Amino acid sequence: MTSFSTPKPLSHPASDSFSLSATDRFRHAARRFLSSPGPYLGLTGIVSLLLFWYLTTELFALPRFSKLPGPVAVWTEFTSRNPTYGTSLFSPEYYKHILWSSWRVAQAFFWATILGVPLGLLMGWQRKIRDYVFPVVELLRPIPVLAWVPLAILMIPGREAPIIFLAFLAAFFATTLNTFLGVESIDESYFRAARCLGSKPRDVFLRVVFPGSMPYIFTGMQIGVGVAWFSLVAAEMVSGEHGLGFLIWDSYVLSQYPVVVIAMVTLGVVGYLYSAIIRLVGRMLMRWTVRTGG
Amino acid sequence: MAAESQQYSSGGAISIRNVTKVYDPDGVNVLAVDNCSLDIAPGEFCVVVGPSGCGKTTLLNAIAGFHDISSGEIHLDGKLLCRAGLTPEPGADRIVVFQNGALFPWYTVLQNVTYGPEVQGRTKNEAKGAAMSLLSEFGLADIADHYPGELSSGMRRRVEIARALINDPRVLLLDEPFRAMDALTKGVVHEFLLQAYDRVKKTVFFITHDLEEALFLGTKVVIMTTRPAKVKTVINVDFPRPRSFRLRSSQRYLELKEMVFDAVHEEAAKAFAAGERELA
Repeated sequence: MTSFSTPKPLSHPASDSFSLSATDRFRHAARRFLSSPGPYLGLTGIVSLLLFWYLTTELFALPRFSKLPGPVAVWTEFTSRNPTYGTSLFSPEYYKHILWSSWRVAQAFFWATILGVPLGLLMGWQRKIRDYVFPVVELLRPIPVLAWVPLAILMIPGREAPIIFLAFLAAFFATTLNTFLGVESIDESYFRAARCLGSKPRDVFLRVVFPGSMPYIFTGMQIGVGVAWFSLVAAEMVSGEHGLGFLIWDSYVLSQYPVVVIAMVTLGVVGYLYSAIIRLVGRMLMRWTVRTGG
Repeated sequence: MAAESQQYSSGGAISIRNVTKVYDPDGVNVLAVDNCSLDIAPGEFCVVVGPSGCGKTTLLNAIAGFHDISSGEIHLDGKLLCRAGLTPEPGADRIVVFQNGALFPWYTVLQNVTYGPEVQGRTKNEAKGAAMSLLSEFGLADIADHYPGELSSGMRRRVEIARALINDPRVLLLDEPFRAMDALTKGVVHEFLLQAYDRVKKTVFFITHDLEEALFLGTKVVIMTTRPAKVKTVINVDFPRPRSFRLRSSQRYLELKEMVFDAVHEEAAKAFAAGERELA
């Protein structure tokens, strides 16, 4: 009997970093990040924006800009323990609005994922289901979410549910279509290999279709949560009594302009956090894509 | 080295009888395989050589059960696999190693190898035990927890061969599996495949257009004509096994090489001329 020569595990260029501890790896990544021009250029961009804002509104007070709140005014209001318009880091109202909006997006996103991912998977998996569903999705998808406002209010009882529905709708289309594209992106040879190895249709679905479309599913979820925020704010402006979208509109009507900007920036930060969390979860679930490539 | 090796079943006689395959894209009939007959004995290492696009893969796909044929029959150990009008079914008795590799990138090496046993109804623990012993037998145990994306192409092919063999198939179908590899990697993977073959003695149906590879690996080298494919010559390659890379400098090898080269060159020239005609 021939004895097998034992092939050494690959000396992959990245394999050294596997043995490093998490903190070492983080420290290494941080050092590399700080020694590249990227962060400094980014910082310059942000500073330029703030400077432009300051110059146009506060220093020169240009014609159309003079009514806008400048960065100093916004910052003063935001950090004040006793804010002029009642909204700052120290007012419970501010956090209530954030929580209201976050909770609505979370619900919309939850339903969009629960319904959109399976629908997208089924569409990609079974030609018949795709033939039924795809034209409907493609017809409804281009309709801007704001155009749904009247129907949402007519169809759905209560005050809260129509708002969540609008945010859900946008996220749902993004999630469904991306999941569907994810299944389409799976190379035919994986399906063939699965059938060769004795898979039943259920195995193909759970072990090939689902994991194979994961990268697209997470892309879809990130886009989905983004458009959910987008539509939520629009919906809150139209019909709401809480939330950041409502806060923006209400402050505008009451001419409390610094609050408008505070709410806008808050939306940016919270929206970023949402997609960062999804990205993080995606990376944890798909270690195979992170380590791939080399 | 594993304490106990897997037991392998015998069998694996393939009989290809007058197989014809006509493709019909856009209403224009294209004859891919024309009245092709071939017998492969159980445990034989059969290498099919022919010009690119000659219809070799069509034949392999028919055996694998990926598509039907227009006439003729294919049997495996007396069981009908393929006939005109019969929707074929792939199965774990005929496992394909694909041209570009089809290890599931979302599974680790170990999960890839346990895939077959698990979907065929063995418990997770049984499958894991069998997979670990096979992997260590093949010298792959160290990479069991790696993802395919972390491995070199040569290593991925070895894992893919192991993933096929754990199912104890009757036939191993390899579709130009080492096509995109550099010569050094190819040499190492050839040695691996030969060692695996010497151990399991499965019927192998191996497609390539690399003549050296065909002679070095095969017991029977089948040279196909240019499209439509049929068998042009069958050459029995009687080098003893186990074979080592030194074989390639022996006198007999060089003689056979010349013979095969002449036969294939003729077909390649025809294919080239046909291509010129199509363009003109």
